[in-house]
This record gives sequence, structure tokens and C-alpha cells, in this order.
Amino acid sequence: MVDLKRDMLTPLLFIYGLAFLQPLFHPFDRKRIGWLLALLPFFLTLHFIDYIEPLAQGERPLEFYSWVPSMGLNLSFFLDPLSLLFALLITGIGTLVLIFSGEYLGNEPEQTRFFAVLLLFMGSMLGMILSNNLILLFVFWELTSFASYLLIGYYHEKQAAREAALQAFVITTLGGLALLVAVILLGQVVGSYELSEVLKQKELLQASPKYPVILTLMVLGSFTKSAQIPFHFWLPSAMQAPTPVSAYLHSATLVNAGVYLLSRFAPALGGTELWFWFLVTAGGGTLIYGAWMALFQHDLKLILAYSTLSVLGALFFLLGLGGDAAIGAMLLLLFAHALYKAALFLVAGVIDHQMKTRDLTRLAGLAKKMPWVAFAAALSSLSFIGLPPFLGFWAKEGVYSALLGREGGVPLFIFIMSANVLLVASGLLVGFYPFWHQFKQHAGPRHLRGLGFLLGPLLLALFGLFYGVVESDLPQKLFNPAGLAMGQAGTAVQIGHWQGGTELFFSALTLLLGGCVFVWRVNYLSFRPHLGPLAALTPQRLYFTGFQYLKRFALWLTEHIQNGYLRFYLFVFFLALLLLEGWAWLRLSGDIQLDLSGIRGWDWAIAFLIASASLATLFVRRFLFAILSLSVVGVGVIFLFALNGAPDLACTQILVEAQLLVLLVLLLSKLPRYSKVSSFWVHLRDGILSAAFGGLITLILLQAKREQHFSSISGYFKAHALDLGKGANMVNVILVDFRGLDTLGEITVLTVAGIGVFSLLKLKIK
Amino acid sequence: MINTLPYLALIPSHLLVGLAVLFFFIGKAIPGLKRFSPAPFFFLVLLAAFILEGLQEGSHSIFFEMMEVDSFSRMFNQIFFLVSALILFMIQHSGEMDRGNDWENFGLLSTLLLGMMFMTGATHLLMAVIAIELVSLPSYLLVAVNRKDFASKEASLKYVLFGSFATGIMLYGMSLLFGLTGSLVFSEIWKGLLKVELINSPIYILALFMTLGGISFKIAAVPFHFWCPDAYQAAPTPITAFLSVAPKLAGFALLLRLLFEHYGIQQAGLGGMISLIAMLTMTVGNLAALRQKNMKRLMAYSSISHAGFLLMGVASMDEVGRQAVYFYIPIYILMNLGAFLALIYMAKDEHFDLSDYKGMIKRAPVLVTFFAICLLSLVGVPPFAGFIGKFYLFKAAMGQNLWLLVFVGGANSVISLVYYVNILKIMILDDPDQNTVLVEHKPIPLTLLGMLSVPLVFFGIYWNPLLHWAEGILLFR
Repeated sequence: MVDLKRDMLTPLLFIYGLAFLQPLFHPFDRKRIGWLLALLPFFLTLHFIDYIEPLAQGERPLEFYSWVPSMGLNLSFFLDPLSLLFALLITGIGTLVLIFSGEYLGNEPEQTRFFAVLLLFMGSMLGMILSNNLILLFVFWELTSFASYLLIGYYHEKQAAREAALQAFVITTLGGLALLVAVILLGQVVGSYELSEVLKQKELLQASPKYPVILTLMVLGSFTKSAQIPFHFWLPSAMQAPTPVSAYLHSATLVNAGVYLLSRFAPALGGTELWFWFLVTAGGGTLIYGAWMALFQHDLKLILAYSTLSVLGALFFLLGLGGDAAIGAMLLLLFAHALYKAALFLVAGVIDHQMKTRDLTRLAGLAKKMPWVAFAAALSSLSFIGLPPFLGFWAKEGVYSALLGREGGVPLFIFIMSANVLLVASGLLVGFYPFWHQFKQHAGPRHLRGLGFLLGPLLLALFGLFYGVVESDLPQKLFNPAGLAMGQAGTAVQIGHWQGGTELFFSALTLLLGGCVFVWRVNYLSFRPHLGPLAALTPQRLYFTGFQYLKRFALWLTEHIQNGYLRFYLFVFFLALLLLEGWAWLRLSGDIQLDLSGIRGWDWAIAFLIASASLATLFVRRFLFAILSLSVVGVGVIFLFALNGAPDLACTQILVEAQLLVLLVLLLSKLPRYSKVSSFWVHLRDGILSAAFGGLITLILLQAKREQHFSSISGYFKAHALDLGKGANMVNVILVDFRGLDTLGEITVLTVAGIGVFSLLKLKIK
Repeated sequence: MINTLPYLALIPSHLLVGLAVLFFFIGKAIPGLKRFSPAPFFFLVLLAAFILEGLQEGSHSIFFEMMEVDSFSRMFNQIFFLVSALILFMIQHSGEMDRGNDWENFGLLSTLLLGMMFMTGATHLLMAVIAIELVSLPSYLLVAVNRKDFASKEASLKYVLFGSFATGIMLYGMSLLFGLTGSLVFSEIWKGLLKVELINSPIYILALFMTLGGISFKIAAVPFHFWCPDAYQAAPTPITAFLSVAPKLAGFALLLRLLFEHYGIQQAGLGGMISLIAMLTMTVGNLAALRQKNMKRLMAYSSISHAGFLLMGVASMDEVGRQAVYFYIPIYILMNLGAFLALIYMAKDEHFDLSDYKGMIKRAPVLVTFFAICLLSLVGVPPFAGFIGKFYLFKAAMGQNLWLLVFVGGANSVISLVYYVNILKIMILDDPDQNTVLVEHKPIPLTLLGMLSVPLVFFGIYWNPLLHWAEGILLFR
């Protein structure tokens, strides 16, 4: 039997196996299928809970299989308290979400696909946090993006859902590529792709000139996944997904992947100026932006989405600050947030399912009809706003004390507190407003049945209360070891121990101010979609216009580059060559010497003849004249050959020219009348290009005259014509002896061409 | 051994010459023969040639340094024989080609194969030109096989004109190279060029760019790619599949041999020029593919962009890059031919519009799954083999600090994601309508498609064998 205590691959295989096999269970009971499937993550949760104790005592189980050793890729897994924290969230919340989804999707025919992808996601996410190999981690990372794409686009008949899915996919894939490059660079610097090796090399990494690049790319990857400014916009759009997906992926697990990645690398890459500024600015920006935007939404899920953004921002912010207190607060906040936000999302799902709307303006007095849901919502919302003694309160206490205890932390504290005030208002808006607020006209909700709907929100909410009240050993067993794993001396996580009076005072102040904002929000602000001034700053618009422009550019490019005109294709080629040559020429500009010494008088004359004949070809208005002047060019070339000691070539050229002339004249009768096909400007453009190109080539060839690096072969012919060829006439010897085969070839080609011409003539006569 | 083996080495090419003669002349001369398709015979000869190539070893220079027969050329030749066998099968299953012309068409194919064998072996520029022409001429004709179709005639004519232009350019470049170095043998050229330190002088760049132009024409790299979309769209799909794989890879073989025949090539400073071409090629190909509605044209542009990705491995100018190219080649063949086979199967000779495939998964789930594997592999998503291939190419470019190339390659991967995923979206997520093609179940092509696409998953997860194979070629060359 497999020893589960040391085994991390087996859970993954189980989950993936279930993803493939679960269609078999579906015929039995569509609604109860969730309960059945949830058994696996439930047992896995228990399995991981078993790890808490040994890990706290410093055990680090490893699992290693060699896969592609030449590349440094191994199936290597490890578990430490930090991954354990995430593993518990993934399997625990996963269990509840699976139960909930069965109920929520009910009779939808595509339920099978949904569960397959959800399990695929669960396995990949778990794989990601368990990988001890960078490349393996990247593969799982991409798989989670892919699963997220499929889940956001679940309602594929909706245009908005498809767009949101593609958007999220494009953004996260971009980040994924950045991560891939970072991973390869890390491997190059450290010489190993094993995570545990890489993390030991802090000095080496931070001293490397590649450090800024690695960090930037790593941060880029994390930010896209965790929806930090400026990549935040995919998350609100992703609310098109079914609500259980939002609860699971887009608040509790997937979006935390970026946080996990940077937390994991914090011991090796963290603590530098660059690290601090990246995380604090983007995290802080997202923190305040999300809190502000959440306040103005009227869709329950959007409020939750924006507040999730805000909390994610806070996590990065704290991670950027570093230090025991901040890291401890971050871990606690991460945990508490996952619990209450998943619960609230599930509540929103219940409301949506029962009422067919999530619009705050159309919901009221729900507490009467669904009291248990209202109870769960109230509990988790109290944890959200940070009322003692809920877990959310202790997290907030931790954050406050981390900032107040920090030198120069007061401005940062004020910043965080103001964001928290806004979040308190959003929390009240989600958790209380639709349940307790009475509205004139409201449709009575249908009676809620199904334990599956209630179990998730209630359990999650009660956890938040339970761990806040009961003095547990969670800090010692889970959070402190996780902090140790992140390279801190230990965390100052406190649950159930009142901090100093200052923090408590500010917590109360936050609640009070938040309450005021809530009242102001409800009474004085219309519920119409009001975006607030920050909405003008939307990279989303940038993405969309960017995408539009890319598409338009693609169309333009294809139409103009691939336009079907051969003459244009040649134009492009010559332009490319001209630019390339011009560039090479410019680089040498100091070293240009033209050697005109070898050029004789008749050369000039012939050059002049060829040039003027070429020009005439262009400017005459009848085909016949054009052909004739083209032959003059040919004649010039013949002269050149003859005068430069290549009589054989001259002979061949004469024959070629003659045949060409006959052919062209024959063609004349088939051609349409001479007409103008292009405008003056096109002519001018082509003329300029031709002149420039011709001039450049001439210059280069003149320059090249200096580059004679080996002896000319004509000397050899001259010296050996008599003794090897036994002939006094050198031209004869060259033609029939030295280059006998060439001559034979030329004769053959000319004969074949001549036959062609002859047959054309015969055709013509007929 | 050295004296006897080269003759064995020549047998496959002699077989092909014989085939060409047989197909062109005997097929015409004996009237009754036209009724029988020579496909099975052709297939057997290809098989024989494949085995004969596999029997040889060692490396020999033949025909006065004109050609080299070594494991590199043998590997490529074997690939070409396999690809041709597959294309034969596609021709059998596609109704786009007039089967009455099989004798002629196969004659053209065997001539083309011969040309490609010369391309992989050439170590002399004149041989290279002859080989390129020998590949080009049948290609022109094969594009215009459907003689009644005006678009094919136009595409073919443009292909001819553009091809002659490219050859002319290449010959001009060659004459300059000869003038500079006094030789047309690859290694001698580099020896000459590197000795006299011409590097970066205008004439050096002019000569090389023009010479490489002829090869770029074969691999359809910018700015010699213009013929590609028209020709690919106009040709019958099996021919398109063939052209998008075999001559392109032959071009790469020639390019690799030309560049790496001399060990000092890294000093030649060509990395910049090739990465520029690579970047332009992948960008132009991808951007154009983004808006295509016709599957064949889309695949044409996608194959242009893949040539760009392959050039990425060449641009790094080192062994890592070369190995990455060797590694990518079989993967490229599998996914590209797989996609084309699926296309032949689905399109039923006429339905090449993307909108014809709406909701195909409901009609043919297995087919669409295989097709999806090929497409996802073309995007380069893990865990498919295309990802691993691209991974090595990127790694090679990074190893030489070609950051701009890496960046452009990354951006292009994202763009390609958009249009490939769009195809999947149409086939999987949309609902079928009255235009959706009705595919009947044909087990044989489906099995073959499975044989092409399942390895993509296998190699995506476990690619050690492929890696060793690529290393093997590197060692012998």
C-alpha cells in the first residue's frame, strides 16, 4: 500500500482520475452527485490535517521521481507549512463548493463538463502548491489558467461570458509566459530547477545582474493571476462564471496563486528595495481601488469581486512590507478572507438561484424567507467587517498592529484604515442589506430546500466564528510555521489575545466610520451603476481598445501587405534590402573609399548607354519601343563582357538577347494596349526606391573592388593555356577546354530555349 | 566501406528518379494503365527508400563536395518519406484531386522528393540552387493541379513569378559570395568570409541576405512569404499539407547546413539578422491569421508564423538552438499534418469556412478532440508537445540573450492563442446550425489522426525519447 503520509502525487492522481471517471456517476442522481464527488476532497482535507502536527515539528516530506533529467524537470513534490495552509483551503473549501455546485447547477445538462473542469482545476491548483520543481510549478500554473478559462466561459451562449473568459485567459497567459521566462532565468542563475535548491540561493540570486529581470517577471506573473493593478480588470469580468466557481476560484484559491508564488519566493527574492516598491505600490493601489469600486456596485457578486481585489491588494501590500508582524497578519488575513469570502459568494449564489437576480435594488427582506442563509450571511459578513471576536477581526488587529508597530508606519496605517472603512460599508451592504432591509414591492422567494445550499455558507461562517472564539493552537501549529517557511523568525499571529488598546480603538473607529459610510451609501447614493471618479482609470478600456486596434491593425496589415500585387511584393523586398544595406553602410561610414582607378573611358560610355536605355524603357509609351530599348541594355552588357575579357560570355549573351527579343515581340500581340495602371505618386515612389537601391548597389560594388582577397582565375588561364590546353588562342582554349562543360551546358540551354521559341513561332503562324 | 557505401546512399534517390520516369512516361505511354492508381506501388517504394536510408551509417562527401550523405540528411530524408506516405493517404481520402491524374501527380511528387533529398545533402551553393529549383518546379505545378479553377492558376502563376525572382536574387547573392571568397562550398565560403573579416561590411550583408533569400523563399520567411497564403489556399488540401511541411523543412535543413558547416559561425554575426527575420515572420504570420475566416488560409499564415518560431532556434546560432530546432521538427510535423488531416476529413472538399464548423463536437466528438489536441499543441499550451518544443526554442534564444526575440515570440504566442482558441470555441462551444458540416464516421482516417495527435500528448508529458533523438543528430553532425 502507498504510504499516504509521505505521498503527494497520489492525491493529485486521485483528483485527476475522478475528473475523468465522474461522468460514470451522473446517471444516478444529478443533484446528489456533488455529495458523492465531495467525498474525495473531504478525505484529502483530513489527510492534510494529519500533516499539521508533524510539519509544525519541522518535518518536510519530499517526493521525487525523475522525469526528464536532462532538462532538470522532475516530478518532485514537497510539503511545508505554507503549502499546507493553501492545501487545506483548496481541499476544504473545495469539498463545500462541490456539494454546493451539485445543488446549484441542478439539472443543467452540461453539469458533467463542469465537474470535470472543476476537479481538473482542483488537482492543478493542489499540484502547483505542492511542486518542488519550477517547471512543474509552471505547468500546473498554466493548467489552472486553462481551467479558469473554461469555467468562466461556462455559460458559453452568453457573449459577455465568452469575452470575459478570453480576456482572463489572455491576461493570465501573458503572465504565465513572464513566469516561464523567470523560471528559466532562475534555472540559469542557480543551475537547478528544484525549488528547494533555488530558495537556498538568496545571496547568489540577489547579487546576480539578472535579479531585477527575474523579479519583474515573477511579479508580473503573480499580478496577472492575482488581479493586481494594472491587470485587475479580468476579475470583475470573470464574475460571469457560475457562482460556485467565483466562490472557489475567484476568491479563495486561484487568485491566491499569485500570493502563494511570491510568498514562496519571498525568502530568496524578497526584502529588496525593488520588491518593496513593486508590491507596496501595486498592492496599495489595488487595495484602495477595489474598496472604492466595491462601494458603488449594485450587483452582489461585483461588490464581492471588488472587495476581493482589495483584500488581495492588502495581501501583496503586507508581503511587500515584510517582517514578522506583517507576514503573520498576511497569512491570517488570507485564511480568514478565504473563509468569509467563499461563504458570502455562496450566499450570493443561493440568492441568485432562488430570486433569479443579484441586484441589490431588487432584493429586500430575504431574512424572513431564508433565515439560515441570512444567518450565514450575517456571520460571515461580521467576520468580513472585522467585528470581534470573528477571525476577520483578529486578522485586522494583526494588520493594524503590524503597521502601528512599524517605524514610519503611520501614513501607511491611515491608508489601510481608510480602505478598511470602505470595506466595512461593502460588507454590511452584502451581508445585511438584502436580508433586513424592507422594500415596498418584492417578490417572495421560493421556499429553499436542499441542505447542499446551506452547508457550505453555514460551515464556512461558523469556522470563522469558532476559530475566533475558541483558543486553538492554530497560530502555533499553522501560521507560525508558515511564517518560518517564509524566512521570518516566527509570526506574531494572535487569536483570542487582546492586543493593546490602540489597535482596539482603531478597530472600533473603523467600524464606526464604516457604519456611517454604509448609511450614507444607502440613503444618499442612488443604486444606479455609478462608477466613481476612479473608473476613468481603466486598463480594461486599454485592453479592449488595444485588442480592437490589434485586430484592426492585423486586418490593415493583411490587406496592405498581402494585397496580391507582385510588384508590391518586390517593392517590399527591395525596401527591406535597401534598409538593411543602408544600415550596414551607415555603420561603416568612416571607412568608405571608392576606388575608381580601374574604370576606363569606354566603361563610362557603356554605363551611360545602359542607364539611358533603362530610363527610356520606363518612359516610352509603346511596348515595342520598350522592348527595343531593353535590348539596347542587353547590347550594353554584351559590350561589357566583350571588353572585359569574356568573349564566350558575350557570345552567349548575344544569343540569349536575340531569343528574348523574339519571344517578347511574339508576346506583344497577346498583350492589351498600353495603359497606365498606377498613379504618378506610385511611379514616383517606385522610382525613388529604384534609384536609391541602384545607387547603393553601385556604391557597394565599387567599394567591393577593394575587397579582392584571392587571386583572379584569369591569371591561371593565361599561364596555362598553352601547356595544359595546347592552344595559342586563349579564348578558344577557355571555351572548349577549361570551361568545356560550361559551354556544352550553355549550348544545351540555348538550344532548348530556341526550340521553345521555334514552337511558339509555329503556333503563331497557325 | 567508404568506397562502397555512397552507392547504397544513392539508391533512394535513384529509386525516385526511376519512379518519376515511370510515372511521367510509362503512365502516359500505356493507355490502359491510367485506370489503376499507382499509389500502393508508390507507397512501397517510399517504404523501401525509408528502410534503405535507415540501413546506412557514417558520413560521406560525394560528387566533388557537392553533397554530403550523413545522419543529418538521412534523418530529414526519412522524415520526407514518411510525410509523403501520409500525403499519399490524404490524397486517397480527399476528393479534391482528380484521381485520373494520379500518375502525373505522383511523378511530380517524386521529383519534388528528389529535390528535397538534394536540399538536405547539398554542401555546395550550385547544388543548393539546383535542388531548390527541383523542388520549386513541381510545387508550382502541384498548386495548379485543379486546372479549371481560376484561383489556382493565378496563385500558381504568382508563385512561379515570385519563385523565379527569388532564384534570381539567390544567384546574384551567390555570385557576390563567389567573388568575395572564391568558392561555393559552404565551409570554404565561411572560411573565406571569416578570414577576411568582412563581417558587417555592406557587401557581406548584401551577399548573404540575397543568398539566404532563396532559402527564405522555401521556408516562407518574411519578406519572401508573399506567395504562401495564395498558393496554400488554392492548392488541394493534401498538397497544402505537404507544402506546409516538407519543402519548408527541407529549406530549414539547407539553412542549417549552410550555417553550421563551419564551426566558427557564431562569429559571423548573423544572429541579429536571423532573429530580425524570425520576429517579422512570426508577427506577420500571426497578425494575418488573426482575422482569417478560411481555415486553409489560416493554416497557411499559422505555418508562416511557425517558420518564425523555428528560426528562433536558428537565430541563437549554437548547439542548444539547433537541438531545439531538431526537437521541434517532428512535433511540428505531427501537429500540422494532424490539423490538415482533420481538415480534409471535416471539410469534405469544400467547407473551409470557419463558420461551417459550429458545434462540430456534437457531430464528431472524437475527431474534434484529436483536432483540438493538434491546435492546442500549435498554440504551445502545456501539457502538449508544442509547449515543450517552444520551451526549448525560447530557452535557446534566452541562452544567447536575444531578449527582444523572446519578447516578440512571447507576444506572438499570446496572439496565436486568440485565433486557435477561437476555432476551438466555434467547434466546441457554439451550437450546430444548418451550415454545420455533417461528417460521416470513417474509421481509417480517424485512426490515423489519432496516431498523429496522441503522440502529441505523450511527448508533451514524456519527451525524453525525442530529446535523445535530437541529441543524436547533433552528435553526428
